[in-house]
Amino acid sequence: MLKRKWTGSGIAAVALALVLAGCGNGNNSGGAASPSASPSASPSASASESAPAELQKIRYAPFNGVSGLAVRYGIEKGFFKDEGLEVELVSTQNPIEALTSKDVDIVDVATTNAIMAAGKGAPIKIVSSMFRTKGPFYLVAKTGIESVEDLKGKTVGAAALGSGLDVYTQTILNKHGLSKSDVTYLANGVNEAAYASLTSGQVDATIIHEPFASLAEIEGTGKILAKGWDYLPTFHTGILASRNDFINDHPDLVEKLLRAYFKSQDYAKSNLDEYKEFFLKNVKIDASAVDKAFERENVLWENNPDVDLNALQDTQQVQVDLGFQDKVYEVKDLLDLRFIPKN
Amino acid sequence: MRRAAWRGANNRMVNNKRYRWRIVLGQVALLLACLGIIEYLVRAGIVGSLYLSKPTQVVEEIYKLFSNGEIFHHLIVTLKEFSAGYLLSAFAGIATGMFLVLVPHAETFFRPFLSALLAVPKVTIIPLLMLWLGIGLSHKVAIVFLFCFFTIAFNTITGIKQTAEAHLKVARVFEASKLQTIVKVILPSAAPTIFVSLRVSAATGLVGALFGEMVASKDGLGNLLVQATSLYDTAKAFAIITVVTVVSVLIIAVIDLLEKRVVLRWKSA
Repeated sequence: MLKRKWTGSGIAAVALALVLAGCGNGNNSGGAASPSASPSASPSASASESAPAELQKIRYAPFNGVSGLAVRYGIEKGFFKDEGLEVELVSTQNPIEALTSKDVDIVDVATTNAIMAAGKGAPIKIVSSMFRTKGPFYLVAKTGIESVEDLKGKTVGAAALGSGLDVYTQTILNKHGLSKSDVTYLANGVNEAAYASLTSGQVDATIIHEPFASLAEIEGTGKILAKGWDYLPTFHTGILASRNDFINDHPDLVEKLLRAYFKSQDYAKSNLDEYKEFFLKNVKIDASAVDKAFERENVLWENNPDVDLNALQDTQQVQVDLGFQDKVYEVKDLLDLRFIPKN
Repeated sequence: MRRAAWRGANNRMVNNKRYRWRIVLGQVALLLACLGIIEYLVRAGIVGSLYLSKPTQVVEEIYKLFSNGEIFHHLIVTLKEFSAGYLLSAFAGIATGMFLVLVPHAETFFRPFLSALLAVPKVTIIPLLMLWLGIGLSHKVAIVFLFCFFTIAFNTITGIKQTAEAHLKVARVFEASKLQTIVKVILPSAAPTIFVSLRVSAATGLVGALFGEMVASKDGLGNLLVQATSLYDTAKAFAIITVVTVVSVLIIAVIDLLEKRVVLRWKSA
């Protein structure tokens, strides 16, 4: 009888301990702490334990996958530490929400998302362009389809409806005299999902990123019909954004992060063989496809932090024309470009 | 008659030790055959390694994850999020279920609200939860809670309603207090139904924690999984999925143990 009681008490104690463990110590568990508990810019308790005291913590959400890889390389090379930053990387599918929740200080985000959110009153500012600003997207068709015009009556995948990929797909079709209604137009996912839909014959063509465009060519499963940036050379695809309060309180950290960000990108680009080695260590994809992708997209890797106002205007106009945006927002108020590296 | 005899013989066979071993061996053989087929399909290039990984490579990845210790921190984070959300939803779910059945008219009044909340597609409000709660622990706890609470609450209601009228009559005859009736009659009667929901919610709750981490996080198994899939590291992704599955099975085993060791004894007492 006594043993039974002890068993019950033991299990109850374990359960209680789990709850307490779960509820406590939130700052270094599931993620971010409340801003007051973990001042993002000042060296917090956890930061001081894990990093030298002089490093200042900044919470940054780069794009997942290959687009954010050069930054991770820069962190590994110590470029951020050289600026006195301890970068806490956050993974998120919703950068604007993550930013406005105040659990992230700076994010990579699609330009259109940032403009619409800031235009509608989200307390954020665009602080720089990303390392590339033109859409690295390709319309790839299965073998046997030789031109965009041949897609009439065929099935075309637009990745995610309402996204930049959708904008590019529609624009490419439109410029070849086709519209969405001339094809079976559907959302087929991005990257490997889009590639699988092409190779399995679910779609006749798809908009897709590298290295899948190169992979399709190498494996003989598809042919590139169009390169996105040829059709929308001024459509702006990526920026870095930060919160208004963070910019006001810690302008120095924004500046340092941007400096380290572009130093990472410049280093990766100018030491391509070294970067490729890092890239292939992390990205499990055919090395020849990666080579081809780097070669093809070298032209897009501009590393230019400036934000072209005309490009933003064009971008918004395209969005409005396609019905993805309600109006063109005045972008001057949405920018804070004081922190862009000068050289 | 013949059917009963057949069933009896079948039960005896199942309980037979040698027969049990044969079943286990059969299960292992089936599993190995499936894994062997996958290994062959990937090695032969019939299925691309981008979509499916060789089981041997997955085992290698699991070994790497544990040997370099990378997984432990993420595992602890996910378990913390899960345990906090799960236990919270278990207590709240059982309490809500009891309240709705035992307080006169409460169920009639609150049921439409509860049903409406149950029907809200949870995945659609997760980005909003991020705005309200940030991307930290409370965000994940809220997601796990949403994934678990309703199942537990509705099963508690069903379980309590299944209490035999005769048992309640006996309690009344012995002039049991309300609390005694709840603790000694109602809850033990509802326990099997409640435990079914706890078992189901354990698996869905863990998925909830992973899902929350995949949406936004700094660490956790979901975060690790996003990193692996976004870099097309299929073997690592499958390794993490395997770890999650094993953890889920272990959690369910703990709940089974809890039911066997504590609740069923309490019920029989």
